[in-house]
Amino acid sequence: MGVTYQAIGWNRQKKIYDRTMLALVGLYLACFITMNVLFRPEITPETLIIRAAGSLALVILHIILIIGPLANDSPVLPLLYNRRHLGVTMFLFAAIHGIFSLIQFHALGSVNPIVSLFTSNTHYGQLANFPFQTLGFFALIILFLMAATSHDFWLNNLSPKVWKSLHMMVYLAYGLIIMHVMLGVVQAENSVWLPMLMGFGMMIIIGLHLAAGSREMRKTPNVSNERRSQYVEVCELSEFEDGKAKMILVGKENIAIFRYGNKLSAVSNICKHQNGPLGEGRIVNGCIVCPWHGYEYKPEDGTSPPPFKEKISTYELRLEGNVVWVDSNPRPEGTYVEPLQF
Amino acid sequence: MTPVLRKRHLRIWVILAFLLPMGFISAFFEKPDKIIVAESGNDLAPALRDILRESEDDQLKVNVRSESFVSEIDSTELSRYQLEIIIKEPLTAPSNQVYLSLDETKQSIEGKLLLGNLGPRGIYRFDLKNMPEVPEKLYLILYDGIKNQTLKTIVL
Repeated sequence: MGVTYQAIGWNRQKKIYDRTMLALVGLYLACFITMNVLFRPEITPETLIIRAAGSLALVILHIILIIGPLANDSPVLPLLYNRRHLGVTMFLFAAIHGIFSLIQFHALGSVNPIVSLFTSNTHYGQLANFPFQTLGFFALIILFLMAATSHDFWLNNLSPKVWKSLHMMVYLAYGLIIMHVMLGVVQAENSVWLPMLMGFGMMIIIGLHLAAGSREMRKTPNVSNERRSQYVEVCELSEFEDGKAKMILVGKENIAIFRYGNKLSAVSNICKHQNGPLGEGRIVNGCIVCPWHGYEYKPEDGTSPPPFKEKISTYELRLEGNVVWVDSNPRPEGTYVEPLQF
Repeated sequence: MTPVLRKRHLRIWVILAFLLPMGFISAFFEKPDKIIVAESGNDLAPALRDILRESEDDQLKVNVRSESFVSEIDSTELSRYQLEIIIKEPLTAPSNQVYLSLDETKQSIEGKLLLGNLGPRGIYRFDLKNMPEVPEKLYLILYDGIKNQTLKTIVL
């Protein structure tokens, strides 16, 4: 959102975020290595690196997938702002795990390591002794694509829609990783702790995503296309909370109506940055703040405060008795619409 | 999030909510009942005194060692045996399991005795427990447990 280009717009929050993340990563690695040196002294340094990096990447992936559904208007929200830092860190550790595994298990023979990865075990038709390393390989390719395109440069060039679709492949990567672990290390371990932890993590993630998905679908009433190009009823005035929004979907128009003091304004519910749900954000210092990455817009004209240049559509509002109505025809992005006073 | 993306998210997670637990449970029930963790022969036991048999190529030197001792129960003279493997050149396979066999079947390791694993260059000794005497021919099989292939068979 900068007027002049900066590779990374460092601010105090980002620095605290990254330092905390690196400290926790260091703490995890120190604990993992110490425990293994004490209780499994026979493990070689290469194996230790493979296991430490792989398990750390798995833990970070779980955290990443939990943040999204928990972030809605909760204290977890600040973790969402720089989630891509976690994603890149996770990829780096997954890459260490993958590269060291490829060297340890496939690079010492006479065949190309990648060829060896796919041809050394060909039990693709059965679960027992399935070539689980190939699942990890494909997951790593997806994580690489995501890490490589995580910068806003790619978001702007690919468009938020394409970018978001690409980054939704993390769910496929997660499925591949679950099976990589279950058909790999779990098959070779006597302990039941690992499958129990994996199962617990999986149930939490699935449960949270299903709950958040159905909650958000309910939160935005959908008015059919037939009623487009006219005023549609939103709700009673008394239902609005100060500083917050009501969301409504009219055909393809996704509208957020904010109350601030004794005024109401309607804007597009879709942030220009990553299509974040503006209606789930709040009004802070007179500006709507996107809950995903903190992008700001003025409610009366949908423009970002100077020096920023983002603009979103605005909508006319009408009050009939105690009921608020919105015109589902959007005004051009950045058009001033007189707030509804009450 | 746009309504389209929101719907897509929910659909993906409904599908994953079926597929992931199915995959997880199937994989869990494929887990072998008993997992044998092969010992590494690198915890070097002292070499037994006599070399009974030996074999050598460019990469490995293999000795069957033995030593006599007197039984504390009935004072009879008994022998114990040890397999010694000296790795002269680094092994290039990702996994090097050592199996012992009394017959020459090379294709399968089923029914063969797993002695342990070989790692970096050096000396490895495996106790041939429960072997009252060494048969006329012993077949030592080096097996890659990851690629599921026999690397080498050494006759002793």
